[in-house]
Amino acid sequence: MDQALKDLLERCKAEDRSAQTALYRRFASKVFATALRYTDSRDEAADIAQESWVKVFRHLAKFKEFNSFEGWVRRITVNTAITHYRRNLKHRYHDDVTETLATPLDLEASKKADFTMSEIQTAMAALPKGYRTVVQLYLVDGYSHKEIAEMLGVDVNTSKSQLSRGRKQLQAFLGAMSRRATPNTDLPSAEKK
Amino acid sequence: MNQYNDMPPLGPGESPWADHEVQLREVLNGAEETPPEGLEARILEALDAQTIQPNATNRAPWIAAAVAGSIVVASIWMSSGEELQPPTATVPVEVSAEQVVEPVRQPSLKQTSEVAPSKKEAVEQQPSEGANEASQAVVRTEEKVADRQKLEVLTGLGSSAIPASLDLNRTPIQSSQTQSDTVRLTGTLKLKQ
Repeated sequence: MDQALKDLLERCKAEDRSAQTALYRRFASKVFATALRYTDSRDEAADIAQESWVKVFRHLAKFKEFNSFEGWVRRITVNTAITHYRRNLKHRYHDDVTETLATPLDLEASKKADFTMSEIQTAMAALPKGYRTVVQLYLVDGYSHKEIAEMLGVDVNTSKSQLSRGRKQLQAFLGAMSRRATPNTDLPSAEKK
Repeated sequence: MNQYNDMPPLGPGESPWADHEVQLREVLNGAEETPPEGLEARILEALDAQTIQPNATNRAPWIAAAVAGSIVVASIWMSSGEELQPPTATVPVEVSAEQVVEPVRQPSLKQTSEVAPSKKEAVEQQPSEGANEASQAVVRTEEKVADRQKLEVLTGLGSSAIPASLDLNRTPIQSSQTQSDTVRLTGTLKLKQ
């Protein structure tokens, strides 16, 4: 952690309003992006970000300087997002999930393609909410299945199976995107294999 | 199993991480999204609300402590008041009642007055002393009658055989003298034939 950030955190602990504003501006876009990953709307993401920042400032004294401040803030944001997710879970839990299985073509296409940020976000958004949440928690934010099970209030095996299905669907979406983007290059050779 | 060191661990039955998943993780971890305008102001407002609220909640324990303290003080004051009341309220009543109805128990008056020797009680007892003198006069008269009756029984005795306390012509009977003393003396006398 750089000295400027340390000083900023010390001033924030003393409830210095200008320091709080500076800290917010330094990490606001990352916090909002994290919140947005777990929701379908920018409004809900803004609510999650607001709640997360209030928690960050309130519990700043508990932050240990040898840890990554960005990682600490992200954990708070993810936990807040999961709280929102669980609050809305009963309304979305019964959404029909149509299995989209990845084909060998998808697998090849997804492996070779270099996806843009927009494509990745689109593919993630196409995942059913349950799959998307588990894939993000496990693959992106690095939580274990046990932690995910506790956070979501589900069984560890449910977390594992949701990850497995989510990965297959993701491959299918990304593969289809890649094939649409490059229709006459590698894919026919992949089919010949 | 896990070909990428910075990727989450995979279970035995899970397929290894694909390139697109590694890319997805990197891209989403580094993602930044501009938060909506007004979010900063909302967060600062929420912080202001939280800093005002704790002040109000911090007062609650002090108010509770003050109320509890006043209750304790009041209970102590009331209990101390109860301790002072019995001597002032009951002693004069008991004295006058005992002396008029049962003059034999007069020594108990002394004991009662000895138990509470304070100046205040002495002052409060003064009004009852007038009643004591009146009742003592009644007692003396009754005792004189009783002694005369005993002297009539003891005819033939020399004047030296009669105790000075029983000689009505020599000394008046003291108010402190009890009937039990008289009974004990009659028990020791022997009649001469």
